[in-house]
Amino acid sequence: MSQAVWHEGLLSELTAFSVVARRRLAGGAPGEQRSSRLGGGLEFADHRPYVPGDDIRALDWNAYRAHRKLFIRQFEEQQDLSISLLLDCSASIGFGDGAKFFAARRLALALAYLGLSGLDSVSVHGLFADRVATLPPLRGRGRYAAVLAFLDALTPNGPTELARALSRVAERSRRRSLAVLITDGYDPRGIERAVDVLVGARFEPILIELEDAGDLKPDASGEVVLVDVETREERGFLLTPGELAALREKAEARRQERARRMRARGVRYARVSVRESVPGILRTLESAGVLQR
Amino acid sequence: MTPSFAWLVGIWGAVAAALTILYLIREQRPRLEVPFLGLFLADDRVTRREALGGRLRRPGSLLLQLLLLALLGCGLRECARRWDPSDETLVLVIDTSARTGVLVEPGSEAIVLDQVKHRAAAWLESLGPSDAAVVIEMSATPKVVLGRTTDFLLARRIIEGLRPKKTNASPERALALAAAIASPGEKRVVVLTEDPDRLPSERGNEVVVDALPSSANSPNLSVRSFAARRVRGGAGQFEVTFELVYSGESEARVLVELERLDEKGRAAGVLEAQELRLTPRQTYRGELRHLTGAPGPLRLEARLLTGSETFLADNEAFAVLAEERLYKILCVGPESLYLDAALLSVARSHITHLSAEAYPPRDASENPVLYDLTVFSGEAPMRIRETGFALYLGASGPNLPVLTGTSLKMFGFDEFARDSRLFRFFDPYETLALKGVSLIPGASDRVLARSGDNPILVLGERPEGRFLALGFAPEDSDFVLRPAFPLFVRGAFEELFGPDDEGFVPAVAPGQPLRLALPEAGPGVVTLRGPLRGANSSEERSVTLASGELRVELEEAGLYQVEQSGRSLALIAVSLSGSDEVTSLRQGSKPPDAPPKAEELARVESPASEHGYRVWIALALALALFEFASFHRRWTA
Repeated sequence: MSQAVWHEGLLSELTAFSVVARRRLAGGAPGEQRSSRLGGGLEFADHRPYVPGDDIRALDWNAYRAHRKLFIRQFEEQQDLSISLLLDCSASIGFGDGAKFFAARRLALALAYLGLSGLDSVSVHGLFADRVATLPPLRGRGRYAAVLAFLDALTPNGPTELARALSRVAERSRRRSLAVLITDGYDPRGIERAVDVLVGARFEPILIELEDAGDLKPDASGEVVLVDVETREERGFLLTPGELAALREKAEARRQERARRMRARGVRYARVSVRESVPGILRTLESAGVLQR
Repeated sequence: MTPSFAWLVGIWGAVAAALTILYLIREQRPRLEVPFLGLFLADDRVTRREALGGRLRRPGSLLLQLLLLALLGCGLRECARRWDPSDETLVLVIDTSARTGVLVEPGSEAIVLDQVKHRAAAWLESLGPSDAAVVIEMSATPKVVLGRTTDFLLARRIIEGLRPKKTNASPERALALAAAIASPGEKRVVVLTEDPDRLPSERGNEVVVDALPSSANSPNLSVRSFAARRVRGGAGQFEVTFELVYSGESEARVLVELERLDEKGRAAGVLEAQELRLTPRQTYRGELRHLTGAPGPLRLEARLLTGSETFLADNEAFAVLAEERLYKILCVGPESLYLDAALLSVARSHITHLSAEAYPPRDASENPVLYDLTVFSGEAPMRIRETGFALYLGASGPNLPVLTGTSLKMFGFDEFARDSRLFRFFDPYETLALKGVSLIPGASDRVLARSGDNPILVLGERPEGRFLALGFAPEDSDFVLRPAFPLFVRGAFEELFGPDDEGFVPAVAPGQPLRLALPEAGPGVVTLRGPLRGANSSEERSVTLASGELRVELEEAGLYQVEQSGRSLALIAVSLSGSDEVTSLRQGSKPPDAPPKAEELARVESPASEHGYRVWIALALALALFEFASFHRRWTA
C-alpha cells in the first residue's frame, strides 16, 4: 500500500497541512498545538499577581513601573495534540474490490502522518464488533512506519457495531482528544449514535464518511437474492433500473440529512469518494475544516 | 382447434414447463452480496420478492408473453394461409367400407357415403388455385384412386364414382399411404369416415377427421358367424352353424336362408329356409342339420320380415364346404392297439381287421371288397389291387414289394427326406428300433429314410398300387411310445393319397392376409377371380405363387376362385361376419326420430377459416394487455 500511495510529491503536499482542533485540548507533552495549560511557552497569555516562590524571571518589570505592583507574566504552553484515528473495520467497508478499505487506510495514514509531523500524539483504533485493535499513542515522524504496519495488519470482518466499539475506546483513553472516525456509514443502529458516544466521552469528533457508488449498483437486475455481506442475511428482490435509481436518490438524501445534523451539532463532517485522488481528498478535508494549511 | 394450434400449444407447454421448473429452482436467482441490506429493506420503492406468489409473477409474465407469441404465430399462420398462394396438397381419405353404405334414414335412398362425397366436394372447394388434391380410398386395402392433381373437377368425378364396398376399413394403412404423399408441412390430410373411433390416436398434426356418423337408429340384423362342416360318417351330410345379432327394441321375425352357389357364385338352389322370432337385442345361435348336397360354396342370408334396417351388408355370409374323403382301411396281420390308436388321426375312416390267411377279403359273391388302404403287419400275403394302397409296417415274407437285406439291430432314422409329406409334422431322429431289416428298393422307388446306408423306409408303386414299406415293426421300437407315431401314420396317408384338405378354406375377413397352399398348382402364376357375382363379370387378377403358396389380401366379401390354365384349384370365401366392420357398429348412437339435419351435414369446417387469424390476434392483444397490467408495476403500482 505504501508504495502505491506515498511518494515524495505527496509527502511534500501533506506537510503543508495540519490537523485542526477547535477546542483546546490538554496534551501530555510539548508540541505545536496550543494547550489550555499556561506555562513555559513562548506566546504571552496573561498576567497574575506575584506570589512568593514564583520564578522572578517571569516578573514583568514594565508593569511594576506603571502600577508599582509585582506581576508575573504568563505564557501559553505549546503542547501536543492527541489525535485518535478511529477506523471502521466491519465487513461492509471491505466489500467489493476492497477500494473502500484501501481508501480508509490511506486516509488514516495521511492523517497519522500529519499528526506525527506536527509532534502530535497519534493513536489508531481498528473498530471491530467484538474488539478494538489499538495502536498506542505515538509521536514523531519516525513512527510513521509503525502506523503503516498497524494499518496493514487490519482485515475488515464482522458486523458494524461502531457505538459499542467507540465506548471501549473511550473507556481506555485517559486524554480527551480529537477523534477522527473513518467509516462507510453503514451502521444498522445509525452513525449518529456512534457520534453521540464520542461527544459524551468529551472527544472532539470528526466524521469522515467514505462513499462508493458501486454499493448501490448490483451487477444484476431482475429477480435477485441480496445477501448482506456482514450478517449473511438473504432477501429476495425484484430490481429494476428505475428502482435502483430511486434507491440511490434516497441514499443521497439520507447522507445530506446526516451532514445537516452533524453541522447542527458542531461535528465536522466530510464525505470522501473512494475513487478520489489523495490531493482531492485533502482538499475535501480542508474545505470541511478538518485540515488547514 | 386446428392442428397448427395444437402443435404450437404443445411447444408452448413444453417451454412453459421448462421455464417454470427453472424458475422455481432457487439457485436460478442470482445471489448478490451488498454491503448493507438495510438500505434496500428501508426503501419501500424496491420491490420485495419473498412470497412464492410474488416470485411467480415474473415467470407468469414470461409464460403469458410466450402464449402471446404462440397466439400471434397462430394468427399469422392463418393469415398467411389465407392469402399466401403457396402450394398445399389436400389428401382426401374417403372411407368406402361397408358401413358407409348405411342408409341415412330407414326407407331413404341416401347412404352415408353420399354425405361423405358432399363433404369431400366442400373440401375441394376450399382449395386455392395453386393447391392440389389427392384422393385415397380407405377400404381393407387402401389405394390412391387419384394422384396429385389440380383438376378438381376430375377429383369430384372420381369421388362421385366411389361406392361402398363389402369390406373393412384399414385406417392405419390409409394414413400411412397419405403420409407418403407429401411432407407434413405441405399437406393436409382429411379423413372422411363414418366412425372416427377406429382411427389411430397417433395420427399426426396434419390429419383432420371429418366424421359423418351414421344414424344407426333403425334395428339392425347381422350375421356374426357362419360355418359349415361335414358330418363324420354322415354319408355326405353336412351341417351349418350361425350366429345372428339383432339390435332392435321390438320383437322381430327373421328369415334365414341357406343356399348353395355354383362355382361362378350364382345361386344354385335354397338348401334350407327357416323363420325365426327374435326378441329385442337378442343374439341367436342356430344350427341347420342333416343337410345334404354336393360340396361347394354356401351362402347364408338373414333378413328382417318385420320392419326395415339401414345396414344390409352384414346380412349375408359365405362359406365353402370342402370335399371330404372317407378312408376304408384294411389292417392285415396281428392286431395292434398302437396302430388302432394311430389310425384315429385319420379324420374320417372305416377300419377292418383281417388275418393274413383271410386276405384278400371277399363279399358273399366272392368278389373282392374294395379298400382305400391296406396296412400289412407280420407275414405279408400276396397283395391284390382292389385293397388299395399298401402300408407295410415291418412286414416280412416273399410278398413284399421290395427285397429285404441285412438284419439291423439298435438303429434309427439317421437320414430322412425332409421334403416328404410323411415327415411334415415330426422329426424322427430320436426314434430307436430294436431290430429290423434293410430294404432294397426298386429302380423307381424312392428311399424316404435310411439308417446309416441302409434304406429303412421306401415309397414306390407297383401294378397293385402305391406302397410304403417300413423296415421294422413299430412294436419292436420305441416309435409307438412317441407322439410321432400317429403323426407318422397321418403323414403316410398324406404321402400315399395326397393332402386330404384340398379345397378346404375357412372364410376369412376382408383385408385379412391369406396364405393358401396350392400343391396342385404348377409353378408360376394363378388367376384370382372374384368376388363372384353370378352372371356379372368378376374382377380378375394374376397372382404369382410364392413357394407354392397363394398370398393375397382379398378386398371384399364374397367368393373367390383360384384357377390355373382353366383348372379350378380352390374356392375362397370372404365374409364380413365377425369382422370389426360389423361387430363395432354403433347401435342407437343417436336417439330415434332425430336424424342429422341437412344443414348440419352440409356444414364443412374449411381448413382455412376466413376469420380465424383475427381471433388469434385479438386473443394475443388481450393477453398482452393483461400481461402489462398484471406484471409491470408502472401500470399497476
